[in-house]
Amino acid sequence: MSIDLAYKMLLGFALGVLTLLALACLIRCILGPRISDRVLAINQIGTITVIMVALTVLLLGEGYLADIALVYAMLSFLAVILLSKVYTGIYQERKHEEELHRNAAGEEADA
Amino acid sequence: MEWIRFGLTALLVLSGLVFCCIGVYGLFKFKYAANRMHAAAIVDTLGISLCMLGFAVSAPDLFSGLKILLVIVFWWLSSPVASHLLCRLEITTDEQRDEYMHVHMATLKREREEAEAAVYAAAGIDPDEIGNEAKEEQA
Repeated sequence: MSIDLAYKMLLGFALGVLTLLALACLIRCILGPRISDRVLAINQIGTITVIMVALTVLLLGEGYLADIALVYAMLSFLAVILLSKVYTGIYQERKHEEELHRNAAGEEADA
Repeated sequence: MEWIRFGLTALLVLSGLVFCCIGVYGLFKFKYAANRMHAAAIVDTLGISLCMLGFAVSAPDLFSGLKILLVIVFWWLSSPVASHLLCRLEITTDEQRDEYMHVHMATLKREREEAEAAVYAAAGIDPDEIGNEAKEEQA
C-alpha cells in the first residue's frame, strides 16, 4: 500500500466522521429548546468546519487553505459573539418595555 | 520516516475524532444549556487541538504547518470568550433557572455562612453580640 493511498483513506474517514458530527450538531440546533442551545450548536458546527478546512490542507496539498481555516475561525468567533450579544440585548429590551407597560398600567389604576 | 509521520498523524487525528464524538454525544445527553456547554468545551479544546496537531505534523510545507498551529492558539483564546458570552446569555434569559439551580444556590449560601462563622471564630467575636454592643453604646 502506498503512502498516498494510506493518507487518502485516513483523511477520507476523518472527513466522513466530521460530516456526521456536523449533521448531529445541526439536529441539535433545530431541536434546541432555548436560544442558547442553538447558538452553542452553531459554535460547535464552526469548530468542526475549521477542523475540516484544515484537513483539506493535507488532502489537496495546498498550503493556502491554512489561511482560510484561520479566517474561518475568526468569522465563527465573531458570529457567536454577535449572536449572543444581540439576543441578550433583545431580551433586555423586551423586559424593559414590559416593565414600562406595567408601570403605566399601575399609574392608570392608581388614578 | 514517512510511515512514522503517517502513524503519528493517524494517532493524533483519530484520538481527536474520539474527543469530538464525546463532545457531540454530550450535546444530546445533557438536558440544560449550561450542562451542554460543559460537554461542548471538549470539542473546543482537546478535539480541535489534537486534530490540528495531527495535521500540522504532516503538513505539505513548514509555513502551512505553523499556520495550522496558529489556528489552535487563536481558538484557545477565542473559545473561552465565546463561552463566557454564551453563558451570560443563558443566565440572563433563563427565567426558570432557579428551579434547577437552587441546590447550588443553597450550597453557596451555606458555604458563605460557614466562611463568615469561621472568620468570626478566628477573630474571637460572637456574631450575635455585634448588634447588641452597638445598641448599648447608643443607650
